[in-house]
Amino acid sequence: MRTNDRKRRRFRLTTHADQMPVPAMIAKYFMLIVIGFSFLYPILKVLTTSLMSPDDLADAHVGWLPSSISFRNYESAVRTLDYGSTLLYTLLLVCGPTLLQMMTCSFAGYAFARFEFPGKRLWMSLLLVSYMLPFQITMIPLYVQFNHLRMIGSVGAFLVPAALGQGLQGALCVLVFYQFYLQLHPSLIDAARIDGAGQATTYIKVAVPLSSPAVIVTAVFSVVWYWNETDLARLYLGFGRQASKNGLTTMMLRLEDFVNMYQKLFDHSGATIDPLNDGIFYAGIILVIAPVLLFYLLIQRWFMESVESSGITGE
Amino acid sequence: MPRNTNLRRRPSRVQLRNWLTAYLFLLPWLTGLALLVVSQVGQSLYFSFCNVSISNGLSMTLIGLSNYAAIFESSSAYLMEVGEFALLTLIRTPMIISFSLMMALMINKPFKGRALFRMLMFLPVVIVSGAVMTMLTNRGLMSMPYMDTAAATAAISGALPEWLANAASEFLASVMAVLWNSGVQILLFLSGMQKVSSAMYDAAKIDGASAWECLWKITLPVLRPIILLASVFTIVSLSAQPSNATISMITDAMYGMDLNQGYGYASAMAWLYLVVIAVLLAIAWLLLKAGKPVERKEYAGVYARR
Repeated sequence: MRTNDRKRRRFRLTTHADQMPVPAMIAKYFMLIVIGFSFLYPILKVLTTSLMSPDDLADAHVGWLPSSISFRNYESAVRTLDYGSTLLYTLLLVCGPTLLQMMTCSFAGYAFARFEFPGKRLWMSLLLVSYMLPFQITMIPLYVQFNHLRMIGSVGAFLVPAALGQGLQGALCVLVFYQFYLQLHPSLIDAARIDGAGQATTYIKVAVPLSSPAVIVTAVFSVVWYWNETDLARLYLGFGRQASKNGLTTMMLRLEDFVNMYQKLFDHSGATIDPLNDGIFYAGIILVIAPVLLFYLLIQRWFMESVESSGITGE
Repeated sequence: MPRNTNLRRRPSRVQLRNWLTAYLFLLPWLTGLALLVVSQVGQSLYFSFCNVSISNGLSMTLIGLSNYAAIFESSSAYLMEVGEFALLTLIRTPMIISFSLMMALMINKPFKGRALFRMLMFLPVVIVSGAVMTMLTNRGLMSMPYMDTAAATAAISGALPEWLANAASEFLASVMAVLWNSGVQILLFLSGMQKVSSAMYDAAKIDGASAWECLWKITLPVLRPIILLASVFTIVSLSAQPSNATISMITDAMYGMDLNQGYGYASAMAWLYLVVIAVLLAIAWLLLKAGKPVERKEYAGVYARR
C-alpha cells in the first residue's frame, strides 16, 4: 500500500498534477485580468460618459466619474432612437429569423447525423461551401430577386432566408446541430423506435428535448448576430427611414443614423434639448446594446455549459 | 449503408423509407440551398460578365470580361483595399488563432473565478461585433486603455531598424483588433478541448510526459481540425466586417451614378474579392489539413466511453 502511494506521488497521477506553481498562477491571473479589463474598458467608459451632464463633459477635470449622475442624455437618446417602436421592430427582426432558422437547421442537422442516404456527401460539401461563401457574392442577385418579389423593406427579406436555413451563419447552425445529434447515443433513438414511435414522433419527443445545449448555442449566436447585423439591414431596409414602407428599422441602423436624426430633432424642437454631445451619443450606444447584453448575462451560464457539452465544433 | 452491391442496386423498402424521411427533414434547407445559394451564385457570376441596367426592368447585355478589365483599369482604390484586406488577414489570422487557443487553454481547467473570465471572453461578440465596434474604434476607445500606443510606437521606431519597427508597430496596432475578434474562436477551442479524453493525458503522465509535451503531442494534434475550422471562421468573418471598406465600395458601385458600373460591375468586384478570400482559405487548408487522418471510429469510441 505504501509503495503504491509513493509511486502515485512520483508520477503525479492524482489531481495534484493540475495544480500550477504559484508564479505561473500569478502570471495567469495577471493576463486574464488585463485582458478582461480591456474588454470592459470601452463599455465602462461609454457608460460613465453617458451619465455626465454637459457641464461635466466640458470640464477637463472630470475624467472618469461624473460629478453628478444625470439621465438627461438618456431622455434625448430615447427620443432620437424612437426607442419604443425601434425596440419592437428589432425584436421582431431578431426573434422571428432566430426561431425559424433554429427549426430548419435542427431538421437538417438531424437528417445529416441520423440517416445514410444517396447524395449525403454532396449536400454536406455544399453545406461547407455555403459556410465559407462570403455574402458579398450573393448580396447583389438576392437584392434583385427580393426587389422583384417586392420584399425589400419588409420582414420577409429576413424571415424567408432564415426559414430556409440560409440566414446569418445558417451553415454554422446546421453544423452545431449535426455535431450534437451525432453525439446523441443511438440507443435512445432505437429505444423509441422499438417502442413503436414513428420517425417524426422520435424526433419531436426524443431528439428535440435532448438537444437543448445545441438549441441554446445556436439561439445565442443567432440573436447576437441578428442584433448586431448592419450590412444586410442596410441593403434590405434601405438608407434612412423613408426607404422602408412601414418604418421597419433596426437599432443598429438607427444608431448609425444617430447624428443625422438628432440634428433633425434638434432643429425642430429648438431649445428643449441640448446640442449633440458625446454624452447623448454614448447614451444611445448603451440603449442599443443593453437588451442583447441583458439577454447574454441571463443566459450565459447555460450557454457556457452548452458550449462545453454540445461541441460546437465540426470535425 | 448498403453492405453489398446487390443491395445497393435494389434498396429495401426500409432503406427507401429512410431515404425519404431524411430528404423530408432536409427539404427546407435544400430548398434554401438551391434558391438562395446555388442559383444566386450562378446569377452573380453571370451578372459579372454583363452590363446590367435597371432603368426599365432588368436588362442584361453580355460584355465578357469588360467589367473585370474596367476594375483593373480604373478602380485602383478598390484593388488597394482588397490587397490591404489580404495582407491584414494574413497577419491577423495566425495572431487571432494563437491568442484564442492560449485563452482557451487558460480557462479550460477549473480555477477560482473561472466562470467570470469565461463570461468575459465572449462579451466582445455580444456587444460590439457590429456597428458599435466601428464607432468606438473611430472614437479611440478601442485602443489599449493602460498604454499609450503612439508613444510606444515612437519608442520602438527609435530603437529598431526601420523594417522591424514597422512590423512591431503593426503588431501593436493589431493587438486590440485581435483581442476583440477572438470571442467565437475561444468558444470553438474550449468546446473542442472537452472532447480530448482525460485518459490520454493520464496515460501520457504515467509515461512521464510534461505538461508542455502534452500540449504539443496531445492537445494540438487533436485540436487540429478545430484550428482549421476556427481559421476558416476567422477569415470569413474578417472578410465581412463592417469596418471593411470593400462592402461599402461594392454597394456604392451598385447604386452609383456611373452608368458603366451598376450591378454587373459590382458583381465583378465581389468575384475578385471572392478569389482573394478563396486563396486565403486555401492557404489555411494546406497548412492545417490533417497529414494522417485520425481514425474516426476509434476517436468516437474514446469519446463514447468517457
